[in-house]
Amino acid sequence: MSNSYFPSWIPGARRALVPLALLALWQFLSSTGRIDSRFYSSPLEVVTSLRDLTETGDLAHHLAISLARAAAGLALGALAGLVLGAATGLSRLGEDLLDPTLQAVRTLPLLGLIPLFILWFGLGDAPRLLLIALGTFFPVYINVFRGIRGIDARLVELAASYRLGRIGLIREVILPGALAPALVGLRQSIGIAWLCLVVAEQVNATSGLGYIIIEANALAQTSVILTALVIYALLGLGTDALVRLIERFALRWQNNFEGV
Amino acid sequence: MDALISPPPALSLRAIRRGFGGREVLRGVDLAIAPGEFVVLLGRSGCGKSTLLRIAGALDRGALGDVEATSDQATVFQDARLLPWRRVWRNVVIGLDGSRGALRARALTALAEVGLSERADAWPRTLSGGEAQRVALARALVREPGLLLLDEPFAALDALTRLRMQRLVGRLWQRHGLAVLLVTHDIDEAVHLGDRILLMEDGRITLDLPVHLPHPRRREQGDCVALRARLLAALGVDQDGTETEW
Repeated sequence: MSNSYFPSWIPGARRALVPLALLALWQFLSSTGRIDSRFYSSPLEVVTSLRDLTETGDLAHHLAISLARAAAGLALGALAGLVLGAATGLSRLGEDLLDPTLQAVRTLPLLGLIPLFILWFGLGDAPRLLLIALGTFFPVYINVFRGIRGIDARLVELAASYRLGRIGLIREVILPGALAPALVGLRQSIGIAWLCLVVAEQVNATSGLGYIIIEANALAQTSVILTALVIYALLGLGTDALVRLIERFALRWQNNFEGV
Repeated sequence: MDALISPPPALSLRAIRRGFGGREVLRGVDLAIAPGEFVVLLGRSGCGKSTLLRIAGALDRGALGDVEATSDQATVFQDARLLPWRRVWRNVVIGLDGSRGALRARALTALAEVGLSERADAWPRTLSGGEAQRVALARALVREPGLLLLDEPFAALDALTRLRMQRLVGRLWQRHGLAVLLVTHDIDEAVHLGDRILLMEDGRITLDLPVHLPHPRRREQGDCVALRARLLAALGVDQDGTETEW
């Protein structure tokens, strides 16, 4: 990562360049009246609305609820993905028994299931959590399976030769070897978790960021809608950065191409 | 053999047969290695020698015949097979039990023997091919095995590194007094290291040649040159390198 030609803040600044330019353009078009502020609030109006929502405590309340839902659904889905991905990856029997069914479920249009889920699981948080869990399950499941099957057979043979046993094989070879793809799956899952959350919170909800959007929509508060969307985006960016940080630590043994 | 006075062999293979998809790779091989003996199994690629080593190392359980081997054996493969996600010293003590401090001390001792103590905390990807193979050797030696199985461990190394590795293995063998089965297609390697050289052709051992030359041996010394010529002739290759038969 170190580059002797540039100070270390340069890459970070470079990444912020395009988003900041777009923000500036947006504000410029709003301030000069080239776009209708009734439908497109300016960045400054979004900041104002963000401040208002924070001061009333509404934001903290709804944000906490949304975060808890996303975390619970993700934990459920990712854990199930890890367990079933390991089961099908480690055993041919497990693959033959489970994989066809899971692949069939994967083809279902996830967000189209919301009405059914509400019908089945009631009006509470259960259908929301299960929707997030189902959406986040597949990236982890597929990548854990692929990661395990991608492990060098010679290392598995080495483990047998040095009598590591089944537990040792899993701990020393399988888990570390499948970690990189598993983390890729987790990153995809986190993106899906936020996506499912927005949709699930706009149906029948009385709290959460999605509810803020629905309410603001009824009152035609464009700036509040945009504020909620910005918060969603920031949450997505933040959690993605967290996983990338974990990746950098857990996969520090790798020697990969990092781009030019 | 008198069981009362001779210790049990480090490895004993009797009437080993192994086929793959109708093709018989090993057609009745007998081989016994005494404790402390350095045996080289020499042959062309595809003659079945690596298959025999895998059977001896219990990595291939599909063979017919009797296999008796001491349980304290360790294998070094042609490729180092280090776990890329474990630091060098962790690779050396893989599968061993003990406290972190005790394991690290054992790893460092073994790494010192192969001259790599200073790379103990390195990641395997940062090692050269020769260094990685020395780590693999340390990983085998740290278990103080009674039988060391070497599957063409120097074949992928450059010529100079190979020479140094051969000397290193010779020294370690003399110091530890373990039995070694080295599989190779390199005649010079066989001449340099073997107490006994076995020639393998077409799934059979066709020559069992004891070598009574002191260690360490010098390549250019007359006995070695004569031995080399004899092995070449047995393999069907002239001194000039022209083939008498294929």
